[in-house]
Order: sequence, then C-alpha cells, then structure tokens
Amino acid sequence: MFGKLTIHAIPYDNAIIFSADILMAVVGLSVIAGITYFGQWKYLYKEWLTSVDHKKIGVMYIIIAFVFLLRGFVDALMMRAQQAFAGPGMSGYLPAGHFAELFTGHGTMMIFFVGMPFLIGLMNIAVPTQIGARDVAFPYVNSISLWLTASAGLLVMASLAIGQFSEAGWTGYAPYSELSASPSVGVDYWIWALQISGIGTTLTGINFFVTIIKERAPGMTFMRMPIFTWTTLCTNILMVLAFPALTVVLALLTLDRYVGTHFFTSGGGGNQMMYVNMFWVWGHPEVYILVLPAFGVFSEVVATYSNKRVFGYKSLVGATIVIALLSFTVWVHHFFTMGQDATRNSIFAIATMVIGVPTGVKIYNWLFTMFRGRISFNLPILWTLSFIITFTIGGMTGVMLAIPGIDFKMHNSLFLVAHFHNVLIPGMLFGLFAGYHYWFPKAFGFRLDEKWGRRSFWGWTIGFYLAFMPLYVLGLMGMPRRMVTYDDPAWQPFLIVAAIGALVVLFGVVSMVIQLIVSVLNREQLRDVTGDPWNGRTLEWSLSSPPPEYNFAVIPRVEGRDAFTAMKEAGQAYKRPAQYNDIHMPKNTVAGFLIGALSFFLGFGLIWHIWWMGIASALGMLATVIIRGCQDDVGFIIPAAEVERVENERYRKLQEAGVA
Amino acid sequence: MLGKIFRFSSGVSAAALLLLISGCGTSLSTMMPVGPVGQTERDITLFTLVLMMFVLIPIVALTFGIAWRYRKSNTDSRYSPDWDHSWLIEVFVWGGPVVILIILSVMTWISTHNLDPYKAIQSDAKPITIEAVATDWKWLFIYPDQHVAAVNEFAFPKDVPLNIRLTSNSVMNAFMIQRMGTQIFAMSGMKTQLHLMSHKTGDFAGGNYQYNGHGFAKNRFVARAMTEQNYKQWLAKVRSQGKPLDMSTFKQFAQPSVVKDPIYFAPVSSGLFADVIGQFHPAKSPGMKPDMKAELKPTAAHE
Repeated sequence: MFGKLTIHAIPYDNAIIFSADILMAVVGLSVIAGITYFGQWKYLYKEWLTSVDHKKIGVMYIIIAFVFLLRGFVDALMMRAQQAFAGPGMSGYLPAGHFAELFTGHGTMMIFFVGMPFLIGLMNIAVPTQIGARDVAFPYVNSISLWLTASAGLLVMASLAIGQFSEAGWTGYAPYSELSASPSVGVDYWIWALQISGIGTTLTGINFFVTIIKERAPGMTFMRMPIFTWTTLCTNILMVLAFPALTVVLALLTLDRYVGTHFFTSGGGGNQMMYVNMFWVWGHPEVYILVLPAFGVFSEVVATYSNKRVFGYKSLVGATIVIALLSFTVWVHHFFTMGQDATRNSIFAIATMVIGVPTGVKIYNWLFTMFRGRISFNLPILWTLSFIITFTIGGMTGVMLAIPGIDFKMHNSLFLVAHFHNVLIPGMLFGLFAGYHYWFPKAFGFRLDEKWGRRSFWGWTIGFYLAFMPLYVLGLMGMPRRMVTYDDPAWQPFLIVAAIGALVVLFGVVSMVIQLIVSVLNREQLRDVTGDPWNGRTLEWSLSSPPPEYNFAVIPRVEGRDAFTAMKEAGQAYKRPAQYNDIHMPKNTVAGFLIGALSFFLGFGLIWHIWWMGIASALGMLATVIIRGCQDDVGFIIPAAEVERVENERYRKLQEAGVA
Repeated sequence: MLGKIFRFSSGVSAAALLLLISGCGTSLSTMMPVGPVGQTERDITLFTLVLMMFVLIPIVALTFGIAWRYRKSNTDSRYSPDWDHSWLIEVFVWGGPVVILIILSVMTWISTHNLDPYKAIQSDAKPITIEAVATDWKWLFIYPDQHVAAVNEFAFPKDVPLNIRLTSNSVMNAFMIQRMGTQIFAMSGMKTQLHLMSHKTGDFAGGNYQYNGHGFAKNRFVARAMTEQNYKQWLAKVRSQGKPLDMSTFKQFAQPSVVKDPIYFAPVSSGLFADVIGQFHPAKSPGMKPDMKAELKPTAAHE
C-alpha cells in the first residue's frame, strides 16, 4: 500500500533535521491559517493559482526562487560552519551523511530552484512587455511550467521531512548514484525533482522561443530587440536543446535504479563515463542558460542608469549568439582527468577558452556604455559594477581551469568550487538581483527601498570575497571539495575566514528580506505613478506599473532600438490612441495547477515505490491535459469600453504626476 | 623557448606569490612540486596567471575610472547619450582577447601533450610499475613485479619514473598526490594510467578527490619518496610483515572501511589487478567483445 514508505522515514531521531521539519511545518501551517483567517482562498485561487497572466506567473517564479535561496543559503552556512570546526582532532557537528546531503541539496537547489525560476520569472515579467506583446505564445503551457517547477521544489522540501535527499552531489555521478552505492530514496528524490522541473523548463524554452519569434510588435525586427530579449531568446534555444540530454541521462539512471539495467554500471556493457559525458552535454550549456539572462539584465541596466544607448549593440548580440553556440562544444573540460588523449583534451580546452573572447567583449561593451554617460548609482548599477570586477576574476580562474595542465591539479579541489561560485554568484545572482530591483516597480507598482538594498549589496559583495577567496588558496593547498573533516591544520584558518564570509553574506540576505518588508510598509512613498521610474529605454516602461492584464491597450509600432526613449524624445510616449478595440485574452485555468499538483504525487509515488499513486497521478495528468485540450472556449473578451476606462484612469494619474 | 617563457614568468610571479606562500608555510602543496610533472604544471599556472593580469588589471582600472568620472554629479565629464559605436574600440575589444587566446592555445596544445598522463617520463632509470586499486575508502597499491602490496602507503624511490595503472573496485575515485601533480580518475572495470616522478625524498599527502561516500574525508594516503636503499628496505619490510593477498582475501579487505595505519601484503597473487577489473566483465557478458578480454590481461609495463 505504501511501498517503501514507513514511519521510520521521518527523521525524528535527528535533532537538526527534525527541528527543521518542525519549523517547516509551523511555517506551512501558519501560511495556511493566515490565508484562511483573512479569507483569501478565493482570491488566491482566482488571481494566482489559476492565473495564466505572464506577469503573475513571473512573480510566483521569483517567490519560489527566494524561498529556495533562503534554504540553499542555510545549507551553505551549515557547511561552512562544519568545515570551520572540523580541523585535526575535531569532528564538527555533522555526520558525513548529513554533510553530503547538504552539499547535494545546496547545489541542486541553487541551480534548479533558485537560478532557473528566478531567471524564468524575470523573463516572464519583462520579455512580453519588452517586445510589445499581450502575453506569451502559450499562456496555459506557461502555467504548467510554473506548477511543475513548484511541485519539483516541493519534492525537494518533502525529502527533508520524509526520507532523505541524495548524497551523491548535485551532479549525481554514477556509479555512486546507482543503487549499489546509494540504496536509499535520496537519489530518487533528486532524479524526480530534476526530471519534473526539467520538463517544466523545456516547455518554458519552447514557449519563450515561440513568443519572441512570433509575438513581437510590428516594426520590432531582430536587430531592434532589447538585449534582454536577445539573451532570453538564446537562453531558450539552449534550454530546448540541452534539457532533453538531462531528461535522457536521468531516465537511463532511473532505469538502472528501478529495473536493473546497466547503462552506467560496469558489467553488462554499461559505462559510467557515458553518464559524465551526457550529464555535461546538458550541464555546460546550463551554465550559459544561467548567466546569459543575467548578461541581458546588465545590458539593460547599464544603459538605463547611464542614460545612454548601449554601446556596441551588434557586438553584444553577436557575442551572445557565439556564446550560445560555443556552450555546446566544451563539455569535456569537466573531466580532463578521465584519461582521454591529449589531442582531445587540447581541443576542448581551446574551445573553452574561445568563449572567453565574446565574454570579454561583453564586459568592455558594458564599460563603454557607461563611458560618456551620466551614471546614477542606483542599486542595479552597483550590482553591475560589482559583477564586472568579481566576474572578471572568476573568468580568469575559468581560463586557468580550462587548461588541462592546470585542471589536472585543480580538478575536484576547492579551487574549482571557488571558481564556479565566482562565476555564478556575480554572473547569475547579482544579475538576477539587479533585475529584481530594476523590474520590481513594474511588477508591483512601487520601488524597493534603496537603503536596505545597499546594505544587502555590501553584505553580498564583501561576504563573497571573504567566503570564496580563501577557497582558491585552499585549492592551491590541495584541499578536495566535499570534505566533512580534514587533518591538515594549515587549512583551518582559511575555512574560518570563509565561514565569517558566509556570515557577512547572511547579513546581505537578511537585509534583502528587510528591504522587502520595509518597501511594502513604505509603498505609498515608493509608489511608481508614471510607470517609468528609471527613465527606461524599452517598451515595458511605457506601461503603467503594474501593467494592466492586457499589457498594451494598442500594440505599439516600433521604429528603432530603445523604442520607448525614441517615443519620449518624439513626444509620442503618452499619446492617447484615437480609439480602443476589444481585446481577446486567455481565460484562467486550473489545469496547470492540477497537472503540477498531480506531478508531485506522481514523483512521490515513484520515489517510494507506491505504484498505485504513481499510476493514478499519471492518469490524472493525462485526463487533465485531454479535458483541457477539448475545451474550445479558452479565451474571453475585454470590451473596448473597459479598456478605455482602465486607460483613462491611467492617464488621469499620469496627468496628476505631470507626465502626460 | 616555451619553457624559457614559463620559467621567466614563474620568476616574475614567484615574487608576487612569495607573500602568499610565506603565509601558508609549506602547505601550498600544488605550487611546491617535487617532480617534473608538478613543475610543468606549476609553471603553466604561473604563466597563465601573469597573462591573465593583462585582462584583469585594465578591466578593474577601467571600471573604477569610468564609474567615477561619468557619475551623474560630475557635470564636467562629456555626455554623449547617442554615442554607441567605435570601430577602434571594437577592434581593440575583439582583438585583445584573440591575441591572448592564441598565446594560450599554443601553450595549451604543447603543455597538454607534454603532460599527457599516459605518456612515459623520459629517464635513464628503469621505471617501476605500481597498480593502484581504489576501494571504499582506501587505496591498495600493488607492486606486481615485486609481488607485494601496501594499503594507504605509496612508497617509491626518487628519480625513478612511476608507471601507475589505476582501477576501482567500486565507484569512481580520483587519484592525486598534490606535490607530484596530475590527478586521474580510477573507474571500475576500466584501467587508466598515470606517469609521475619525484626528484626529492619525503612524505607527501595524497588522496581520493572524487566523492565516494561517508569515508571520503578519510580516504587519504601518504606518498613516500625514498632513496633507492630505503625503498629496498621498505620492500623487505613489506615482504616480512605482509600477509598473503589473493582475490578472495581482497574481496574481504575491499569491504567499505577506513584504515588508519598502512597495511602490508605479501605475496600478492599475480594478475590480481586484472582480476579486479575482470570482476566487472563476466566472461559470458553479451556486451563484451573478444578484444576487451585481451585488454584485461596483465600487460607489459609500457602500453
């Protein structure tokens, strides 16, 4: 009846995990109680859970990202605390298995449930409005993608309370992730969480690819698209091409674990090297899936806050495309030490270093965008400046690791750990934070508090250097990654500094939470009445904040790059249209939410071998898809009069603000 | 010529790194090589580091300089809101990285071929073959020509090339002695190869670098580079103290465990390394081609 699931799956004997479970239960129950007390279930259902509006879906994606950022960060703090107190003759406070769950969970969550939802959230909020569209191409699919991601995240959360999470590292290298070495359900949680969220991501990739190709406003040619839209386009192409490789490698590992095939075990013709190859065929493009959107954000931000056109638009676009293409040619650099011949290693090494060229070009283009500009040092540009310097260091160590002779020594060491954090934290997270601050008023109608934002910025930046520069030294000292204890006394001082760095980042994280609370409390003072708080250059700033459901009352005609700046200069920005028309919009649907919820039970059933639950959920999902597919009436009309009413209200506010 | 460049650049960077090294005592192990492989690796590390400064320093300087000069409050600075292109800058920003890339590519191609772990080290001394078997969570080092084996103690004479063959009895492991250089994976059912040499005597830290379970942190060993005479004495000690090792005793020994002190085995049944690999290739395995069986037979020191 319950497969492998017994009462012993609940870790009541582990004080740390069990108290985390209780905390999680308390938070969850109080959220439910709060919604009930304030009678908000209907609102939640009608406005959010069933919504197909890309702006709301974007907001929900970013909420997921923040929840997991907190959890992934707690994991990081725990690991740093462990290693600071695990020197010679010490054992720290964590057993080896728990430590392994922490580094696996940290990596998995930060990549799949922080980076991915955050960037997809920003894409949802910004891209349709940047290209002058009313919605994404497939709003219902967009909702499915969101709820698949949410349900996959919930599986990861559930692993904390029921059973355990994987100990095999976020890369899950076989044969360690195979049944013989990892018999518990941990790896199964990891497999199904990645599989479900990965399918959601693939759907997003298709959705945004089609959206950008088909839904652009008239006049918006490819070479007039904002850079963020460009990086989104390239990212989504990468998603569509790369994620199936992950889907397949996970499916093969699943077969090994569930039905005893030998794809990645030696014997029976299997090959563990194939796992590593296939994983990184997805994994390396994934790195660029994570950083390219952030590069797009930096391009938008640097132009807006420098009050200047972006420098070298064609170069930036070209560099983006080149990076996207090259990202598929370098995966072998993740295993130079696997024993392939020198010529093969050299070719992949050089291919890797080639990516440094377009990346370097981008950095110079951002610098020359600021050159001869008028820079206002709002938070997004601070994140950008910190990014440029910090990321250059990370790029530099990346070029070093790309050389097999150096990688032979640094592979699997803390030097490598320092490097990829040095790329992903400034290159992805700082960009996402910049985008969060930049587009927050667009999504919610008020700006974020700058003072707490600055505190957060300094916490993250200073904390980053303190936390990760010692790891480079430790790598040079030969310390491997993933060590729960160690015997070399020379390592400990550096690990203590790194732990202090993590505490400084904690200050940044807490400041970010306070910033949000303070901003909500002061929302009247921070209100964005014009819809254009930063003197923006692209079309999303021509809308009110937040934009109406239909985005554009009249689809704009685009005459050039920086379309909104051109409109403002020509005095056309806030011109009332001659007349309004009826607008056809997609209806809300519960199908996406249902499919997501059922996918959770599908995953849970498969993890615990509760076959009836898996089969029932899969049939339920299939039925939902078919029933929704048979509905003809999936849209509704917003009458022209209603559009006129909303727009008149907006013009009244604009007049009050003295803009129009 | 390339070697000269490496040495020159390492001289330059040595000064800069002195501070770092003095701060870390003798523990900056990957930067303090004892043999030819480690030395080349350190030299290319320092060479690349110096070259990268030509990227890093201008970018940091430009970032601070431009951000300060073109701040909004500085009304003396020039403001050209529509200036967005310059061929000169484009040539510079694409050209500069390309030049560095070309230098690095040449260096990479040559050094990667020189450092090929499968390539034997040139020396007058006769190489020693050592077979390393990764088990959870310890290393078994078999000396096939001497018919002895040691656990977690990797002893060898200095100035003699080591022909190391590796495999794993369980999951993927990665073998490395930081001060000698080059890490390589050890995988079940497969054989990888590594050539190392030390010019110095001494005890060097070594370990498994690929996470393999709860004993991972204790999965370390000592590499002892000795004089020829001490090495002979060590072999004699292993012979006198060691217990016999064959496939069945190996299977017991290979159960997951952490060992603190080195264990010695003698005599070791011949072909044990091939047998460990062979476990993963049942003779009737349908996926196995005939030539793979040949591959598994114990082979000569140099393949």
